[in-house]
Amino acid sequence: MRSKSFVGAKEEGTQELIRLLRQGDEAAFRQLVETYHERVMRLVLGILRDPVEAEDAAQETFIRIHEAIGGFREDARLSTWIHRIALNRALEKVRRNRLRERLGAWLPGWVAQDRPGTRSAWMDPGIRAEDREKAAALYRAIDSLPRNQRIAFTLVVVQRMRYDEVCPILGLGVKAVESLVSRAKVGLRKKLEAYRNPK
Amino acid sequence: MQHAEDILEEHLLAVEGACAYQSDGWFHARLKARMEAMSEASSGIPIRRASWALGSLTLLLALNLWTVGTTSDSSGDRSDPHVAFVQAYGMTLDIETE
Repeated sequence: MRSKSFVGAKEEGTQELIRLLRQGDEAAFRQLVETYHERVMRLVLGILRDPVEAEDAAQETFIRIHEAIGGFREDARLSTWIHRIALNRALEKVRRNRLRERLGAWLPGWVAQDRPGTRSAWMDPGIRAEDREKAAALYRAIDSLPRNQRIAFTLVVVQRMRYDEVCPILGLGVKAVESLVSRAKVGLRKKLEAYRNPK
Repeated sequence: MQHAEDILEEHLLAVEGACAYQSDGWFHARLKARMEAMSEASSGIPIRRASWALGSLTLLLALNLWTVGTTSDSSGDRSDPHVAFVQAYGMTLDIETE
């Protein structure tokens, strides 16, 4: 009973927050940022693995929320909507970076190369020094996976998000996400085996 | 040779502590500064656009009048800007002549 009333109070709190955000209430926006920004940062950092790009994507997420809250239809939970926006911003940056890398390969000197401390060089401070080589190998293998497998694996396995959180963000059912994760694992095992046991 | 499944598990253990993001407490301040900068930049745009449009229009009109005025034409006195304007734009102005 207690948890039910807590959930109810939380739902009411979210409704009130949405109402205030729609009115342009600055305190409500600050509350939204404080409540969600760490979760948003973790999500985009997991996809981008570059703290500068991740902060940029997280900021763009909240700017988009600020602009689009009036059109939020509430057919999804607020947290799902926020995560979806964040994921789209992160994927947009991945696409742009890949395009820049390709252009850089075709036109060396014309396209700005990676800044120091970006995706290729940055290592999450949460990873121990002795594990960094293994982590880098895993990240390289993840990067070579097909897009949907890469996202599902990162969210479910690396970030340990629950299926009930991941499924609505990706707009897929549990079976579909499980299948993506399972295929990703098969692909990763092959790649890591080749890395560890080179012929 | 190590089993493939074990290898994946080992690599996953290596990234166990990843993405443990801790805010430095300044995220909101940086976001607010960016939003304010965006707002200032966008509020300047209509004024800049309007002044550009007005400037361009004036320049175009002056250039047109000057071109028309300096073009020799036997059909009328093109040195008079008034006449030149009427001839150039095919307009009939209701001007009383003495």
